[in-house]
Amino acid sequence: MENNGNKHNILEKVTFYLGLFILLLLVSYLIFDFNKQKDLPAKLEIVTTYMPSMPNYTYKVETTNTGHETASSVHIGFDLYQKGQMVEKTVLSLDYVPRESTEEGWIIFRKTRMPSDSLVITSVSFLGP
Amino acid sequence: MQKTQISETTKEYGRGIVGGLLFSLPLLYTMEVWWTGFIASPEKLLAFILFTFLLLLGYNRHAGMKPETSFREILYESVEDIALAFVVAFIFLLLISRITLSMSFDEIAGKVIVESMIVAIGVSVGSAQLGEKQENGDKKARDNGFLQMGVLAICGAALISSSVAPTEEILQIAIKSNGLELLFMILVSLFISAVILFYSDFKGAGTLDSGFKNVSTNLVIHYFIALIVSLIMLWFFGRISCYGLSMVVAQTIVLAIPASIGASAGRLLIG
Repeated sequence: MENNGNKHNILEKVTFYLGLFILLLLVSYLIFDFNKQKDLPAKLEIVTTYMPSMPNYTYKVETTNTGHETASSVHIGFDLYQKGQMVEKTVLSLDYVPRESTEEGWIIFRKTRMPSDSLVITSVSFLGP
Repeated sequence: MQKTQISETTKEYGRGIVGGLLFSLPLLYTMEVWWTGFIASPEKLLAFILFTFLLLLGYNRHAGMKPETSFREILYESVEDIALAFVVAFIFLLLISRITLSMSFDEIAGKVIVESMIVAIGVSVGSAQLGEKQENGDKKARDNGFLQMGVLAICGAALISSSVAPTEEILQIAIKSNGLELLFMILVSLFISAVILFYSDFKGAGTLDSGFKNVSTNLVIHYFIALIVSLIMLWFFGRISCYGLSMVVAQTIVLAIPASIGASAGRLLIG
């Protein structure tokens, strides 16, 4: 890479301008992001989807953080109701849900699925980054 | 003034990439570092980029390039090192599935920035030090001044301590250590530095005959650099803001053991 003259070959020039471009892009993005931040905590949105294609009684859980901070140690509690009775409960734990990101998880119940089942999210807890 | 052959450049880039991977592999495989990528605030990431870029400029000025090289060339080289580091970190994180194209730009950018900064110093050291001897021969013909020593000690401390700084283990050791144990850690750090710098005939090292004042001054400076670099690393990896003064001091002393080895041995090896 070292070249004491002012002449650089094409590979060095491409690498230099690529580096300069990435640096400027990232620095601009970070400055923009810094100005955009409003100290809002994490905000989690949870979507559950029954997965008939998977074995047993499985739900896919998508947790999206639309806030401005990463949520850590996320615990989401679920209760499964059949015929109006709570028959099973489970907790999904995620290490982190970064801001503006979605983490996927799966929960599996031992019960057999019934047409009138309902899945209730009973608690969501998380820590700051 | 002839252009460097492309084949020469590719060989040098190859050495740089190998150097970058050698020094940063532990970081690329450490989950706390991935997490830091999306936990760290934008201003922290900006500060990390600035800190690394200054280190690159310092390293290339004092060890990576010939003494008569212009600042413009040093700047050019440093940007090239950063470019290689970004590419290496991005491809490697993609390879081990720590980033996927479905992730948000925010997450990808954070992870690549954190990983690529240490890779960049490794790239610079690799391209300068892993080549054939005659290529670097005249790079050594420079004065061994205080500034050069300081810059290389900071680079060495950052390179060596960065592989353990983000881990939970530093906090665990700090929690379990009492005042006496911390004092022993300080003494052991100073002792190892003394052995490296003045006893073991390391390349470029001094001797104990150089006088008590010289030995003690060097040890204090190296340990001070190790402490400062440790503190910066702990701040960057989020180990300062949530803890009281005693825990910050304890963590800094614990991390200063590898940092002082890096500041003394690393300085001699990469310089």
